Amino acid sequence: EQLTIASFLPGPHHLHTRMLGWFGEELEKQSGGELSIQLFPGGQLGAGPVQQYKRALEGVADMTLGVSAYTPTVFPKTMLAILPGSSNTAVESTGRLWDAYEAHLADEYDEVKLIALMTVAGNVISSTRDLSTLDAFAGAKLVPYAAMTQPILESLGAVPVQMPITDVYTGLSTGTIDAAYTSYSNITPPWNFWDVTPYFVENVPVQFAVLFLVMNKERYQSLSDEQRALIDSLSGRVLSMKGAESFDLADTLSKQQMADNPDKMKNSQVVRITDDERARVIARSQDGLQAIFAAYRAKGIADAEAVYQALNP
Amino acid sequence: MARTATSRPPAAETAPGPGFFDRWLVRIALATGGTVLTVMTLLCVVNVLIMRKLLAAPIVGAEDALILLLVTFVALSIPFGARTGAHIEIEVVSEMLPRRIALGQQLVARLAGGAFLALMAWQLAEAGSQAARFGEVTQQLELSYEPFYYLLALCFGLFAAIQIADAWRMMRTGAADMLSLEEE
Amino acid sequence: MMSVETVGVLGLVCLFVMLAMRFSVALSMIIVGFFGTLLATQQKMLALGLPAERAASQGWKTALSNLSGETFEAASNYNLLVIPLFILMGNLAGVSGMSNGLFRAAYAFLGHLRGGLASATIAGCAGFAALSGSSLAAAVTMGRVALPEMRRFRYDDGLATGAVAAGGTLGFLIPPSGGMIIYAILTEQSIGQLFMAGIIPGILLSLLFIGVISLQVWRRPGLGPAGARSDLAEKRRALIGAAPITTVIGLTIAGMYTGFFTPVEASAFGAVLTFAIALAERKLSWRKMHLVALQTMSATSTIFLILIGAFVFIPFMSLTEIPTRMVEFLTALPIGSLGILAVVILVYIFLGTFLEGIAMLVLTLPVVMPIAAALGWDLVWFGIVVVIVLEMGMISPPVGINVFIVKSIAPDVPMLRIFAGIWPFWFAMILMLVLLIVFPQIALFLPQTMF
Ligand code: NA
Ligand code: NA
Repeated sequence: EQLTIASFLPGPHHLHTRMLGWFGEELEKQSGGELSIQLFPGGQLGAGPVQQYKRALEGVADMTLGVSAYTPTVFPKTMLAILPGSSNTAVESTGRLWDAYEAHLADEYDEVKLIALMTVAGNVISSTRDLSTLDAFAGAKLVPYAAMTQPILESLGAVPVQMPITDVYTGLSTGTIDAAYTSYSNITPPWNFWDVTPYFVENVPVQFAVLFLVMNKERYQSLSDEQRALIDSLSGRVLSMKGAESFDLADTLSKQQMADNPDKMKNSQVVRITDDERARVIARSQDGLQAIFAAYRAKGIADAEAVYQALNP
Repeated sequence: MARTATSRPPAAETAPGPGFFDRWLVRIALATGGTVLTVMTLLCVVNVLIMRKLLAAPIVGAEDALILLLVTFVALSIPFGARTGAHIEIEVVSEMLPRRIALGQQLVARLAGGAFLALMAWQLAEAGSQAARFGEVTQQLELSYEPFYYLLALCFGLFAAIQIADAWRMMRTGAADMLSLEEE
Repeated sequence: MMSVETVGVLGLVCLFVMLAMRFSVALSMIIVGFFGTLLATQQKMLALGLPAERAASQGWKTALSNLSGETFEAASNYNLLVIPLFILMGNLAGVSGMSNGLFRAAYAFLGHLRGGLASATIAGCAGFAALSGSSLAAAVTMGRVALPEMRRFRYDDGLATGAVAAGGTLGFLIPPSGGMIIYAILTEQSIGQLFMAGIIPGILLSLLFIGVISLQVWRRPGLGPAGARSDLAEKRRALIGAAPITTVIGLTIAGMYTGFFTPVEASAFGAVLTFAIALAERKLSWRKMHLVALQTMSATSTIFLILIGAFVFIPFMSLTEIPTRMVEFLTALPIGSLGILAVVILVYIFLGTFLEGIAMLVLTLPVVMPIAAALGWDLVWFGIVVVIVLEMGMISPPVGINVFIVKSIAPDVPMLRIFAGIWPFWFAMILMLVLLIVFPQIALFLPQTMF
């Protein structure tokens, strides 16, 4: 049987080739050709990322790939993984997401069969000024990696600006914004932030985005016991780590490209927040974190702080 | 952009003035659509030029508000456009047919279109009632899309009614007069 | 049981039948998209061995979910804010008569030349095109000013109407452009980059149009007698008169090129600035403002309903796998990338003879886009190629929307005469296409250097 997967990402995205490529191959191999996947990338089965969760529930596709922050009221606890904490890479953060999953997050996925849940890391600030100290954040117009971290930026004295990643390049080059949380893969082609960005700030407290791959529950139930067992064995933490590794690999490849193309980096400077400064930034962020937890309590989610602690042991 | 649908030259511009229904449609469209258009334009300019570029203090949730204003404006525009002939039709074939058959064809198109639009309106309302379950909210202020699904449903319902009314008029007068938006 | 491809072909046949029966293009796409999705999903489920009942219920569920979901998705796309706002800007400029200033300025400098009035019409159209996203609006507004003038100077009817109809099409190529916005949304390209890509081809095509006019009056001077020569004072007055509108054009385009504005911001800024100028020049009455609001609603409704149509239709096309088969078929042909491009352009020219531009765009892109992507064509460049071919369709018989508009302004000129005046411009467009294919940089230079 063919399982359809709807993705809003463009066709050749590395999640499709690496993570879903692996998933499809293993499914086909281990089921003796009984199960396979059919990918519809680029919103072919429905435009945009916003309705991806809905499309899985309604069976528009058997599985859909989406971003938690687009439906914030469905995944409030999962979204706590977005906040900066003890993880620095997609692999670390995704591992911790799964450590905390059973105890804290599973109930957010009651209506679907969760296939994968992983993060991508916003681990470098692209900036027109040197943001390697806490004081430098004051007054900086800064685009967060995820909107929910705004209170944290405010507590650092920065001015959070909402802007789609597609406008950030322009924003930096024209001074509409001073800085933006990005991943390394934004620095090199196709994004080319290295053309317009004087500073890349490393060792920042990392912000994340959470992606999910979910399956229509009825469709899952309609499969045979063996097929379900096979999907179970290939999904969950295993597949999620493949996705996280793919994101980290993209970062590594971009770092390599930065090292290999000094002419491209001639107008850019990589600066590093010292561990001491980083500790100061994190200390100052606590007010923002508490504000976020308070907002959660106001929405009726009392244990937000506990979940955050579980995600950042 | 494409301003009128009828590729036929609007020769018969000496048509009688708009009827009772059209007059009210214009009034309502002006009051609602005109207001939304004004607010949308001003909010966009104020947020960008003044708040963001000049004062470095962007309005929180301005994008949310703009999206909701856009949905509202689109919803209000669609039934109005149905009366001004805004929806593009292809007339090559029907112009080659005898008048009576062409008219019959258009009648079928209006009636079937109206029926389908009614289904669409119902489904939009249905989707609205499910919006909370699917987490359909704006991203910054988490404002629910539910009422805006209902508004779209209402406007598509009106669109359906206009199609049926057009069919009725066609049957009685043998022609479908559109509301003209020419100057003078 | 049917294969999904069969369902797809059946759907396309239904689509053509409905179009012929004068269902609106948008509604045809929505209805075929809905029932097509229903049927394709159902057949897919049956093929998996599911019971008929469950297959049918899943078909309904998917189709209904798409119907409402895609409608909302199209109506709530932030980038699409540019549509009502640019329409508003163009309508304000049109209704307040600001566009007359453009024509008068071009007239002051070109009017005394042979064929100069027709050339001034092209220049005026190009200027107005930079304010309006629609070729219709450009043809109507400039036609009303320029046609009476050309007739006063006894211009050949064919040349006069041809210049207005062809000049009007520039509205689609010179940004802002409704066609480009739709192309950008459906192909996930940047609206700003497409706008920038249209500027140089737009100017070049205007010059080609003027060249074609000069060539004609050089061979047959009777076609376009020289007009009155303007003295220096008149020229200065004309320039001052055109200053406000050129300021708006300059600021919005420069703002987008330098990255100071995103397209959405440029559209809002342009609308407010145009409004302020029209108000300051006392060219806006309460009645005119009402008219502008209503016209903006009407045009917004055109574009959005057809976008909703495309959004509902695309998932159906994807499910049927027809686009994939088309790619496989075309890329297997031994004609190379250029040959396939030629085939695509010829198909567009053929469709353009009887289909409306925006309708054609949304109807064809779901199939053509995968081909362009598979062959590695630059999608911004391809967008400009498509826009020019769509423009050719606007002035080609039997259904040329710009020709009809010109006819409505000059009802006594026979249709045949207008079409006869058109063909030189049509060949100028072919020449433009060849230039674009040989020198893609004509389109790509600005987007590649912009921020
Ligand atoms: Na234009
Ligand atoms: Na045509």
